[in-house]
Amino acid sequence: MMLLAFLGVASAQDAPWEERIEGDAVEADAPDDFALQGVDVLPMGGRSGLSVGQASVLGGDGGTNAWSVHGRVNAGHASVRVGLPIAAYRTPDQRTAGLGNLTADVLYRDDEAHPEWQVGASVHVPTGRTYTWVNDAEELWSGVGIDALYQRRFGDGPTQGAIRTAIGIHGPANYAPFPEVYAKVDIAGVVDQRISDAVGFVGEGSFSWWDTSPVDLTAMLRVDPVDQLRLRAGLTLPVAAWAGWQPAQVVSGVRETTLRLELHTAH
Amino acid sequence: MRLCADRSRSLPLALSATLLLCAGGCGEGDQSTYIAPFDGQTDWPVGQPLEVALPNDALPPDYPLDQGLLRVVDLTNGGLVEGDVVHDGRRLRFYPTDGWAPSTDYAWTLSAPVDRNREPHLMIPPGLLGDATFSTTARLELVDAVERDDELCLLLSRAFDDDVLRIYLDGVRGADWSIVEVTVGGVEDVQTKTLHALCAPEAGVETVRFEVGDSAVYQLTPDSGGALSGFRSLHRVVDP
Repeated sequence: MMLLAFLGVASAQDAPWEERIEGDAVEADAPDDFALQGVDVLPMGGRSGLSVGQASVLGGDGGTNAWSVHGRVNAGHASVRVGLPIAAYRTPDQRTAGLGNLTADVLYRDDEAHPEWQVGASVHVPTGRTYTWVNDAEELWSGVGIDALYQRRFGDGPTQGAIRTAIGIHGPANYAPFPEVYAKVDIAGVVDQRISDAVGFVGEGSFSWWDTSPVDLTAMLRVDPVDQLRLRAGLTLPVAAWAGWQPAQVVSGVRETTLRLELHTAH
Repeated sequence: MRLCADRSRSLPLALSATLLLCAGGCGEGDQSTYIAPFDGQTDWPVGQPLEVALPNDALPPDYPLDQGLLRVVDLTNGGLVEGDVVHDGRRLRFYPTDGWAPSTDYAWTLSAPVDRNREPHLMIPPGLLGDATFSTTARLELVDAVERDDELCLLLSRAFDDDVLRIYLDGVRGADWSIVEVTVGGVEDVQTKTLHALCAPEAGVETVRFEVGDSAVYQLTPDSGGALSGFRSLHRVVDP
């Protein structure tokens, strides 16, 4: 209900570049309804909307599936995004499921002076007792945390990019391999290459520490089959985990990859 | 006087390693790691579960546990002992379905957890892994000989009572042994019954012959080099 309420508010808002200007009409490229975003890089630009995603860990160390719903609202200079994941995962004797951490991202931008960057914060609050992860330590494993964010976008044509930096502190449920408290530094970069009006490629690389998957590379294809609807599908490769560079006690090797399927709407 | 053992899969080994440190008292006893009953212990109560103490909370509450982690074999009658492994805080406990049988020998094996990524990891110190024996019989055995300040201490499998013992040091019988109560890591409630060690009155002993009644004889000799630390190996029994 909370997400739907956000959408209701969002539909009544105009995106910043849609302000009506008195005078002669000027032909210009239509603004992108959808935000520039990666997996770690939060949405920049675009309209308010709803996102539904699935991340499935495939392979010998797989078995974790996470579904998430995010609602995003642009209001003035702020953008608020709230999401809640649910995960199905294995335990020693059975499969189980549970709610992950409720995440709220608040980003501020100055559309007139510095439209290219955003600052904000991301807060995680546990809603269930889930003990697994996909590629981010804070998404599912029960715990609290807060990160300060800075994002900046580049480019204004068919090729666009953005970086995200974050630093935060987290207090997860203290069972190995998670520590009792950890600080996290995160940097990620995303490139969005438009192939046609309705098709594009998204590539992202990220580094985080402390994290259960410190280095991730993501490649996704995006397709807009109809107006206000975007589909994205691709893979996240946990290359650091493959190299054995992760806090969990597992041997190195290519044993897992994450399949991502996403649906985004713009209102 | 008390001897304290810490980080113990088998009491004798731990006693050997930490005797000096804990002789004056084990200040951090509540965080010790061990498995009770200890290797070679006898007279174990039939209603007492097997207990593993880990350094940290094992797993989230109600999180399922790999039941193959801790297995117990009935050495007297043969076969695996059915039971449940449960975790509570930093402790794992094995509860035999039908309790321990009287006058029965058992062996337990604590295995390394299967590596499972994307799950809570059960962190078991390597020193706890392996196997050992215990018994619900009341027989008295010599479990190990350890050194404390050059003083030889013989660890018994249960409390010394009115047992008939004959102990020879370097072939001479009749020393005035002291009975020492053994605790583990300062945790008083680990053992429901007292464990005893016998400590020799003199240092520099080379060989020990230990006779329990008319039934068991242990002949202990040091490793090459002559140090009594050679006695640390569990059940170092030369032909009686």
